Amino acid sequence: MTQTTTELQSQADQIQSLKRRKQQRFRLGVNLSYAVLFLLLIYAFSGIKFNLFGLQFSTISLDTAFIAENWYFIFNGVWLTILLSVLSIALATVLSLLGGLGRLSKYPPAYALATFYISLIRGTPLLLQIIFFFLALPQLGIRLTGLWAGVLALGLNYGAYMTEIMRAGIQAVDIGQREAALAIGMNQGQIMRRVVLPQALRLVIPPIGNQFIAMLKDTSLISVTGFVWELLWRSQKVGRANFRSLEALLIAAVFYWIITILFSIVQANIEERLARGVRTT
Amino acid sequence: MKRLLPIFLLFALLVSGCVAPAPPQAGSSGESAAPAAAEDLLAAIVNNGTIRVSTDANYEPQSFLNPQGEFIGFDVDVAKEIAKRLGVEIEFVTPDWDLITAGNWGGQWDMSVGSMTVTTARSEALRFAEPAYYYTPAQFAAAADSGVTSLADLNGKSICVGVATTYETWLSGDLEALGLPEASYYADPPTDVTIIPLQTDNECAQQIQAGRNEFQAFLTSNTVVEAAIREGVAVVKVGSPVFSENLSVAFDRASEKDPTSLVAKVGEIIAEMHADGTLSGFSNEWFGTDLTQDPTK
Repeated sequence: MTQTTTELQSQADQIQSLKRRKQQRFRLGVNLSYAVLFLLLIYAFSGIKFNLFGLQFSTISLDTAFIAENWYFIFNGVWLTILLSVLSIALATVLSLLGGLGRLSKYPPAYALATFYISLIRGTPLLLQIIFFFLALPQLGIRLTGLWAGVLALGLNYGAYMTEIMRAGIQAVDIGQREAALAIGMNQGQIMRRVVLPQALRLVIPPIGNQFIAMLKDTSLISVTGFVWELLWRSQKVGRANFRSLEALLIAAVFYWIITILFSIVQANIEERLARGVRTT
Repeated sequence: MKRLLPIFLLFALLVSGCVAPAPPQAGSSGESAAPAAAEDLLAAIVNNGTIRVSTDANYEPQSFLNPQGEFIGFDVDVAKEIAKRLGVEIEFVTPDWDLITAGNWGGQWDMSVGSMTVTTARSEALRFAEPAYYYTPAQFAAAADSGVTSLADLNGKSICVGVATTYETWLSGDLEALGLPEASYYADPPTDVTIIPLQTDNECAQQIQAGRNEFQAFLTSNTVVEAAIREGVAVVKVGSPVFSENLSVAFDRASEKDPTSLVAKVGEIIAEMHADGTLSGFSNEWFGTDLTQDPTK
């Protein structure tokens, strides 16, 4: 009897280790492919030109002296880009929560306001909205700095898109949860605050993280106001004045990419935390 | 969900509340644009101790950023000197060029020291300090391999200019909108050209450098052409300059605070800087030549 158990045990071990080896091989293959792709990218910008069997191969050549001299000035825009994203996503989250509740409201004006907001904002380009807030509001006596005009435009814009995320998150909480809360005598506000929203939060965090990463790059549109020295603005200024726009934009692109990778890792960690204690299979 | 009603009402109030503190609308034409009781802009600046100057930091050697992120250049030095002689600190702001030329600055900055040509059209939105602080010739340049070598070759070609620049206005043949003195024009605009306006003059040179061929030539200030050639862009000058521009310090005509005394004061300061050789010194330092003498005189 014990014999069979150990035999079964070792068979299970074998299957497990086979699985593990397969996984390890896969990871190794992926990492190697990353390395090859990365080297290809470096090669594409190396400026190397050579002739092979009568075929002329050329790559994009960059002014490295310009890059060495100006990368730090452009890099300093990273903090503002992150600040803009964080402020905008905070505003967007608040707006989308209000919008999501409005979308689900049984009260006609609230429902109308929410859907009108979504329709108006989703129906016009973000770039146009940023310029609008910068140019139109002074006529109302409101002089927002470029930073706040940008945050307001980005926040309102992403708030409209995220409203649908919030609505879906709230609706995804099982109806039984509301019924149970109602049965123990909670009123609608309490049900929302104590039962539905905490559960909806877990569901909406991944898509909001996704929106945040998208927004990181849309902050570059704020550079059109000319007052916000974020990554793109800085690279455009030094690029134009020195006739080296390509180099300057590539520096900014590298930093956008790095920030995005870092925030993707943060997002993955948050998701893992929130998934604890929840059965997925 | 009725508990949300107060929130939405509050929101609606906030939105409509924005309409209430609307400032008195200043007229946009005529010298008496600012209301009589308006606060004096010069007094406000002296009181504040700071003047806010817009600069378009896309142009070397007029206005650009060094790797430390400081503004340097001819325009920047002129602006700093004006602030010094006004006895106030200086703060630079960096709106886009078409925002500066459009006027209606909404009080976000006080003056523009940005190599702006005085034109009739711009005078409707802006006021200019007299006299001009320097003069630049407008110069055609073409891609070195385009085969364009004389002004006559430009007829029927596509020509790039910065958007909302005097070069765009001149190429389109609207000399009335330019309103430069007769003696400032050295040549007639080429005929049958396709105008390609890009965001800044420098984009024209960069697109040629990048190997694009939507246009064969561009028109800009001689100083920009020389900067491009110095930076190794493969372009050549075409013919001699076609017109001369008076570049002046500009102020917002629709300003809430009355700019009249500031315009006059800055004009006096510039006349002094011409007389005592300060401007010639800056010009020799940044352009390697003296561009501060009026070529029409």
